[in-house]
Amino acid sequence: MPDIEINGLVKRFGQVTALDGIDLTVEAGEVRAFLGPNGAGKTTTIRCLLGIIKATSGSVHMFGQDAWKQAVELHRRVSYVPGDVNLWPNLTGGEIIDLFLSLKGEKLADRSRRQHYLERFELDPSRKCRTYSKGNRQKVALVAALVSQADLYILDEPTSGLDPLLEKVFQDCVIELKEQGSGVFLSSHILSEVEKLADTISIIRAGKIVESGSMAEIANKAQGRSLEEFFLAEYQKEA
Amino acid sequence: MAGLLVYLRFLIRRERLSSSLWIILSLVFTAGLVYVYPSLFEDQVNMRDMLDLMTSPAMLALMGPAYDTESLTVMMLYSGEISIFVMVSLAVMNIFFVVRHTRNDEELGRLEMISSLPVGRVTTATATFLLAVLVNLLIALPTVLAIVIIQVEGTTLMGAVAYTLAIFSVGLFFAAVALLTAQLFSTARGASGGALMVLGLAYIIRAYGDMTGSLLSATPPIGLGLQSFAFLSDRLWPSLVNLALALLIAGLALLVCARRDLGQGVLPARPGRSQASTALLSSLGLTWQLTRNLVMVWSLVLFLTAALYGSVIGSITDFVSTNPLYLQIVAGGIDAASTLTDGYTALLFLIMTLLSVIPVINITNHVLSEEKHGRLEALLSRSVDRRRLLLDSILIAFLVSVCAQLICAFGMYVAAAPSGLVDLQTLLMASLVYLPAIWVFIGIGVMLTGLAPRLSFLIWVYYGYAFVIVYIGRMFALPKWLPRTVPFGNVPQIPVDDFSLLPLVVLSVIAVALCAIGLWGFKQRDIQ
Repeated sequence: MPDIEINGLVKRFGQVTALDGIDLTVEAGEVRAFLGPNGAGKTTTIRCLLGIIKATSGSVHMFGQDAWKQAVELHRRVSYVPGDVNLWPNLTGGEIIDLFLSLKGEKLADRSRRQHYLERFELDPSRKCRTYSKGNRQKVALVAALVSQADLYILDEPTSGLDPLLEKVFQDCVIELKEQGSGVFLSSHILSEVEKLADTISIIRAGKIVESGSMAEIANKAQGRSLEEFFLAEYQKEA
Repeated sequence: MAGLLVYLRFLIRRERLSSSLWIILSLVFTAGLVYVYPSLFEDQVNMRDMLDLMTSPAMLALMGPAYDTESLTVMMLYSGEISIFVMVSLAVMNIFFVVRHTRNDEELGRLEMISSLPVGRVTTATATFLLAVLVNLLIALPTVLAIVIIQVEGTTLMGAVAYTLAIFSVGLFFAAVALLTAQLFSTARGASGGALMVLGLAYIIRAYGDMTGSLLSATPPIGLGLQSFAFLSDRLWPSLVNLALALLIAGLALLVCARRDLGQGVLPARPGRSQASTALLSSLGLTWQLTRNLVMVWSLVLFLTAALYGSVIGSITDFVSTNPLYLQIVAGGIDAASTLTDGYTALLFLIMTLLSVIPVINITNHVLSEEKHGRLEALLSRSVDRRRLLLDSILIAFLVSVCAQLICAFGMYVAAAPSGLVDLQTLLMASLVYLPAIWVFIGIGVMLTGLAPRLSFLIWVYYGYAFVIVYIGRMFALPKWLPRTVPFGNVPQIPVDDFSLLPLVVLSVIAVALCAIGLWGFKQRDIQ
């Protein structure tokens, strides 16, 4: 059973059609990169996946269950890093990590995993979120998601604001998740990151999937061009 | 000081809207009050009664020293009752004004961009303080003019100047204090919190001084400013001392500003918990953690307000019985001691309920405010049920409504018991009877959260409407159905009215139904 299965997903906000028939699958244990220009519908797709907004039509499933109706149960198996991290200014990073774990129904007894990731990302958990920089807020969200043991990780531009060293740490973490057998759905702008981590790629533009396939297939279609040139061409192509 | 004028112009541009609003509001407030003040008092005897009321310990603590004179005028009463209120609001305005343009801009990284330009180290802080002086002047000058032009009993030019200079100097004093705390604390919240703390301390110390009749009564800047006794003694020196202190503090702030690193404070930021307490580890725990400060502050406000009203229950009956307008409001025109006390009790709990609804509405709207701040997504992407999240706020709002009414009843009882005019059981009844009406407001908030989040302001519109109907309704003979359109108008006003269960049941059913509709809607809709 695939981790994610989206068929003919349409989402309209009033007159505006944000998603216009999305088909997308993430097989169990694969890392799928999700690319596209700003405003193409990446975050809207992810919000439909998380049952935060309701599909106008089409079906959205995770682990074979309806993402809207079964949202609460499904989220026990899913870990999520938002693209835009909004946290409570007067709670500390450590408090927020614990809260998120606990809301997922996980036990907090084993502190070693939490400590491990705090050290890897060099995050001070005793500071209030108000005093964190953008990069540090991103780290809180990352650590909270990685500490939690999930079958599927949904990551929406997770490395924005991280320095190259931490970006490397993040990439190692994703590879470890893959070795564990967890699926990863990674929305990203960073092509080198995608090239290194992804098994498969989907490209979205103006609410439609315009390209989809394995890394090998994409390399084949690129016909000798670099991945960057191929993507730029895809982004600019007329619908 | 390079770039001072350019930056000042830029600040004025940023501030033109909100500062204009403050200037206009405070002018309308002053002019309006001066205009209606003479009509609040029937005659000299009634004014004397008001002065007696103001010499009670609670009123002294609240409003400052009472005027000591044989020839009492309306403007003396005005200045004695309104000065401290205007001083505190101007202080708050100045604190937020200064912090907004200093530490807040610094925290958001905006000052860093300014500092990278050929701009002096203390330019932004100096410009902010200068603009604060300008805004305070633009409030002060029209205030003098308005008082002189409206001319009521006791108006003098010197009095208007003394009164205005007193509030002006207090406002500027706190602009300077905020300029200093903005240098000391490394966050905007810390800076405004520190300055507000100074304000609170200044208020409390002088309140203690006024109640005990000690020298502390003249604690700067508020207590000192009140020593002006405008329209009687017209002293200017207390305000001039305040202004001198303000300049001293502002100078100190600029000195600190010139020596410290950008982005840093002088006081280190305190670290918090690195692990969550078990109380936080649920959506209910989180909601409580995020709302508890509000609950604490409101509990204190409600208790003190109820106690204040309770403490004057004896002297208020004297004052009311010599004033036909208030007699109409409190007791429907009947002047008998028992009716007056009952009428006062009933009116008191109506007013207190209007106050205690405010925190209840705030907590009901908590989910909506989290959504506006983009923080609901982080919760709902975990294993959290939406209805559960909304129910958490409903539960806390419900508990707060019950506690608030209990606090009101006990607050009044504690202060009024020595007079022998009240008994606890009646007070509890009179207070708790309003609960179903408060719950209707919870219901409205939940319904708007579920069905029409963009129209959530409507609950405050309806609250404002209820407020007006309840207040005006007592002064004029409104059609009988009009008060029925607001929840409070359907509640039996104990001890004047007899208790009746039916309206309370109906209100409760409406509240539950509205909550159910809201929960259903919240389950269906998109989260922003």
